[in-house]
Amino acid sequence: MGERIDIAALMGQGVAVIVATRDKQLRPEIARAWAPSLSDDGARFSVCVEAAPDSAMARNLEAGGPVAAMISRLAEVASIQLKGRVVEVDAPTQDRLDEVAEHVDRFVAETALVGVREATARALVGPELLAVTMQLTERLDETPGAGAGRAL
Amino acid sequence: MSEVVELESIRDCLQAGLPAPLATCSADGTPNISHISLVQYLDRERVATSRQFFNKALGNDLDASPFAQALVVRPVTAEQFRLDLRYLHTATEGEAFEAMRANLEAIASQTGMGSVFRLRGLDVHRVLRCTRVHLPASTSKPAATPDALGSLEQFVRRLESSVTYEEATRVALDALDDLFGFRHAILLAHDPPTARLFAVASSGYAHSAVGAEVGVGRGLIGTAASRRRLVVQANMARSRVMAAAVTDGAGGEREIPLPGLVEARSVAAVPLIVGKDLLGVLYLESEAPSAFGGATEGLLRIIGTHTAAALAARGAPTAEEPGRPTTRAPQRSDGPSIELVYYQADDTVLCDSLYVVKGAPGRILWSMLKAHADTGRTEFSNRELRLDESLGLPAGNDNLEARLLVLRRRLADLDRGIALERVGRGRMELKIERPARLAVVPTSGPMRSAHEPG
Repeated sequence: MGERIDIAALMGQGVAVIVATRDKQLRPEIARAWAPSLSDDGARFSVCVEAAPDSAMARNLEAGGPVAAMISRLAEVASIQLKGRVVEVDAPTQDRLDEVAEHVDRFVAETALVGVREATARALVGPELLAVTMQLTERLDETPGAGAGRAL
Repeated sequence: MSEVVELESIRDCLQAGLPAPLATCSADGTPNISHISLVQYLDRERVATSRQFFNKALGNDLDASPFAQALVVRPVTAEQFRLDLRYLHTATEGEAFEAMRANLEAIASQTGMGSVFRLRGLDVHRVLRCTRVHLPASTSKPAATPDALGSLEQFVRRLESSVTYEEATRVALDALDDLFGFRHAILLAHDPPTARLFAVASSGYAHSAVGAEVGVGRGLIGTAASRRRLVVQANMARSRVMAAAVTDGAGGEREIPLPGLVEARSVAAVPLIVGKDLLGVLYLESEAPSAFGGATEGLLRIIGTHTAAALAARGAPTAEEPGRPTTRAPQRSDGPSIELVYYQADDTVLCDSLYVVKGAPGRILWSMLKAHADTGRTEFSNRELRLDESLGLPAGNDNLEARLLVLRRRLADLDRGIALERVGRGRMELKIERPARLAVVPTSGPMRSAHEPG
């Protein structure tokens, strides 16, 4: 229970979020993502993934395949990885876009702590997003160190 | 549609200090993301990624499925690029492995996370495709590439025109600023007997670095020395942390702190090597991110080679000019005396309670001060210093020119009425403006025997 709260708390920070999918040939596709959130029961994870229409990332997400998301705090070198399957893909609502903007502000503040200028941090944000929900099957502690890969 | 770019065009994105996410797939098809400390350019078709102690799953994945994708960022513009990779093999030795290991050891030494950054292997990948993710709206065009070859030629010419070791250090640092825009630099000489590096010249800092010391193997500078490899960090968030890490221990007033830029974004440590000998390290800092990466790494290696050769040629023992008759300086009796204290324990010399030098330069200074006090001598030669066994200078590479340079500059920085000036090739004059009072603090420790009469 405590671990789930930790994950939820992490998502409220200015974290960097990376999402990975793959195609049928097991070729991975990677993208940044914004506005991460965990369902109240901790079973589902939602995030807005950078994916242009008809891109490999969009195709993989729409195929409902397996997906991984790495959530990292840059200033504290803390990371978790969530794994599961895509269960919903849609265009982001205005509420979700507002949450993206709020997350980007927190991300800018976090990256400033490790010397990244605001303009640089904001330039990392892509213009085309898909709202994605995944059903979680694994939660891993990926903080660098001997415990990396430990199940949460 | 993603824009395909040449790998060569994004070399500046592939360097130390810029961790990158790498996606792979496990045997059951589950995607996995690893944070890679280094993505290193190997050639036009291949890159290498670091396989470290903590990313065990990565190895399993690459054995199961060779495809991977990395996301790299251009530091200044925040442009992002995806590298579609096909894993080829894992190297545990060789030039690229050693280069990556040196960079990771430098990071580990700075952060105290040695186990995390221990390199287990170098995963070599063929780059199948390199694409730009999206062009940020605020991206500015990169500045035109200056004529590196022309600047390099001028650098070498200016170095060649210098006559003495001291002049070569000054010319090198000035030329680095004038020709390449490397404004903040420290030149350190290697002292093999103590396994330490000591700063002989610096430029671009609020206070001089001369006399500051770094242990070989410690921090970024020490790692460049111990591995004898260029170490580059493209994204230093807190250079003061590094500066603290490379100065050994809390020496208080008897240590000279290594200066560092508060806003340093990128740093490089260039080993200065001639043949098998490590002569020192050239340390560079910049407020710009990624100032020393990509193609600049090759430039730094060439600069290091020429600087090392110039210092080696001018640091070697040379024929002395005929000395002037030994003069007995009139003892000045006016004004307050200069209080000079020598600590046998580590050969530290204090002047009016201010730290001057320690180690071999301290022994040299004290030897001259004693001779001056006993006989009034003011003029000394490199040759007699080399032949004076009590100074403990190693045979061969004794770094005497570097040590004397530190001594001269430290005395000049302190400005307490003592100076050591060159008066000809291989000769120097000790100038003391006020009466000097000398005191020795003996040691009962391990250095006692070195100070007992033979």
